[in-house]
Amino acid sequence: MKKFSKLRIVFIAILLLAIVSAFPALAGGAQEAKEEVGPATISFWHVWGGPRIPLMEKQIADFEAQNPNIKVEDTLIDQGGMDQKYLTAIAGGDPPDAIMVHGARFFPAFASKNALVSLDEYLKKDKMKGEKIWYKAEWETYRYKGKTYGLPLATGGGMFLFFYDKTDFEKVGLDPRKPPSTWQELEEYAGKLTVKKGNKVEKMGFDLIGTGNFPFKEWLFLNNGNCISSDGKKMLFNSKEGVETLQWMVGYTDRLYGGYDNILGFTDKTISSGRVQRAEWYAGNISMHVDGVWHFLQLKSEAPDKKYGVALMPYNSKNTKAKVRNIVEGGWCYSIPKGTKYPDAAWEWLKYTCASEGNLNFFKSQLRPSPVKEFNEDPYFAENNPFWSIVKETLAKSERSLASPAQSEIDVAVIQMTDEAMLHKKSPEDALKWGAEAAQKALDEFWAAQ
Amino acid sequence: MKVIKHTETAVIPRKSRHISMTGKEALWGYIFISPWIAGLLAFSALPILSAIFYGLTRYDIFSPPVWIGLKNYKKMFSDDPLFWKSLYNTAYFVSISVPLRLLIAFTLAMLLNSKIKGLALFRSFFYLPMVVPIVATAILSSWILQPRIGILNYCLRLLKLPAIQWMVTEMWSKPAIILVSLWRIGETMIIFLAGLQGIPTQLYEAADIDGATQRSKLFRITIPMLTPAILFNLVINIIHSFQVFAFAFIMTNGGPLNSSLFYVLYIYRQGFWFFHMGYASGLATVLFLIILIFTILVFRSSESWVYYEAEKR
Repeated sequence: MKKFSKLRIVFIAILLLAIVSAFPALAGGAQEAKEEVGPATISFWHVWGGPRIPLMEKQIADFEAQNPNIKVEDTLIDQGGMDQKYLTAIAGGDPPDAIMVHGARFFPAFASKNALVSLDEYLKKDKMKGEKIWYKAEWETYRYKGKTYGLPLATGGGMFLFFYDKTDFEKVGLDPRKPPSTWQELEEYAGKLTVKKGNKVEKMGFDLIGTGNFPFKEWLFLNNGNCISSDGKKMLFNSKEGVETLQWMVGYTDRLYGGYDNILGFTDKTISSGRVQRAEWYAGNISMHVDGVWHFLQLKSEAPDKKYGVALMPYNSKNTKAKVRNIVEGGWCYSIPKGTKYPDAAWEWLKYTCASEGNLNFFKSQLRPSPVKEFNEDPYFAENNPFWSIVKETLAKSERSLASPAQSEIDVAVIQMTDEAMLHKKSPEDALKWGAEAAQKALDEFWAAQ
Repeated sequence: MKVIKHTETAVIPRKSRHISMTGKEALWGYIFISPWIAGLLAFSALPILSAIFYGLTRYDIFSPPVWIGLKNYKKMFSDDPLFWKSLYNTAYFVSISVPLRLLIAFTLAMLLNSKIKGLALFRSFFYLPMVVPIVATAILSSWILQPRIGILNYCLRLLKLPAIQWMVTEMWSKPAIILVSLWRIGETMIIFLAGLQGIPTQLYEAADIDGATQRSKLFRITIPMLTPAILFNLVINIIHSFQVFAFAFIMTNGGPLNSSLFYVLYIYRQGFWFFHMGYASGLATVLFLIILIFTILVFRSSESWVYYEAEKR
């Protein structure tokens, strides 16, 4: 009997030991608390992988040189798994001191749930006027109910530049100095540039599904439509403009390519966000292509021989109110989660990376624009990018569309609705009706739970 | 101290010595499995129990959970077409992928069990895909299967076969994922191989003397002797197939038109995209029950088809 209980004690002790050792955080947490007196070391999560890794290292080194009291420990997060990482860190109560937040996917949810530190006090203290520093659409994206919860880091409005192949234009007798500026011209040009063998599409003039992530919403903005009311309570895309937009998308694809099924391989967006489209565009199988401000650097390294031009996005000239108007639902911002140890030190880092030379240098080396208006006037950009005026105009013509905390659910409905209409499973009118109802339901559920 | 000495020295009879040996053995046994037990309690039992609890709440991670009783389950069964759709997709996947995996793994194991030159090389070659991370496999395969520029369709065209719209149509999204998931068959194969090597050779020798054909040796010796391994692989593959996630997550993200929206992908969507953690937990609980039922059914049925040599002795 005695022996047995001894056994049991040993067993329980070992079990406990194993449990405790399974939580290194418990042991580590106690040690870290002592460090508070010393200089601050802030942890920072971001997604700047690939060629941006050395740029980030340099940015941190420069910042630490200016702020010898603050050390920055950065962690590169994979975009695919970031949903889980962020949510578990916040739910677990031990978030990093500063995080990179996606404007549409996370920002509204984080802000509405009070998970981020309001930055207005800091802005006031440092006499920074947000609307003067950043583009309006960028700045507004990171405000929620009149408060600021993030500083714009990269441009959300820089997603829509219209690239076209000058060599292809010349081949079919189009003027390479005159890219299409309206939907109607776009269709005409695309028709001339498309090559078909029987019913099989060999070369595409332009694929309007391959633009950005949510083509319907993007074209809707170029037809003067809106997605959601400014208070975030009502979906607006089932409108006259919405019907026109979806009808045009379906009609265009049917007229030019004989239906969406005929071009599914081209529009395949399943592999690493649009890489297939990009490969087709490099290979000369697509003549006109929409891409973001980061695409200049990609073209330089991946298709250096391509002769291309860049233009503003084409809009619907049949709608007299329509004009070039690019939807911004969210780029990236830097924020400070609630419950961190060093919010003040994190603020210094935010200021440096989003509004100071740290930001300028970071984007200069990538040849892409900063959300800080005056930085884009730096002559270096115009000297190194012949299309710089188009880039600036594109940013200036961006307009914010509110991303609601039910955004992901709404987007899933929008994608399904677009696919169903494109594949003729539903008429554009029915698809829109269904999509708007599904999105509205998600929105209502969110607000009802508040 | 004294007391212990007394027991150790005074109790000489064989019986009690035997008991103390088992006690010691049990102690060491517990010591060796304690990390696993701790892991099981902390990382499996606890999450399972909390998932059952959260399934009865509305929970968005940021604010504390709100008790809503069975509302999540009511919504699932009466007001959520995607629940049924994802269940159907998963059932489709399980019913095709599990038999296919078992068949192919068994065939490979048979081939790798023959005595030929360079056997070790072949064995590592067929196991190698298991070493490649699943994400890398998925990304690579999506390039291979890409309908226009993928190498698989290129080969099909060379053979004058029609190219297939892998991944991009409702019809071909699930088959594409089944095909790719077959790539990671190594584990199932290794277990079959181990099972094959455990079959006593005298059985085959006896059969040879009696003039048995290859075919009857396969059906009367190999397969019956392998049934415990088949049972194990069947259960494990059913469980894993119900949880299919990574390939669909990376290759199709559930599309087109939700045709590859598998159940776990749907759970992920509800939880991590839509912040409906309560609902996602409810979905997870239902999946847990489904898998449990299937496992019980398989184990029940196994009594009539699995042959354990040891039982007969």
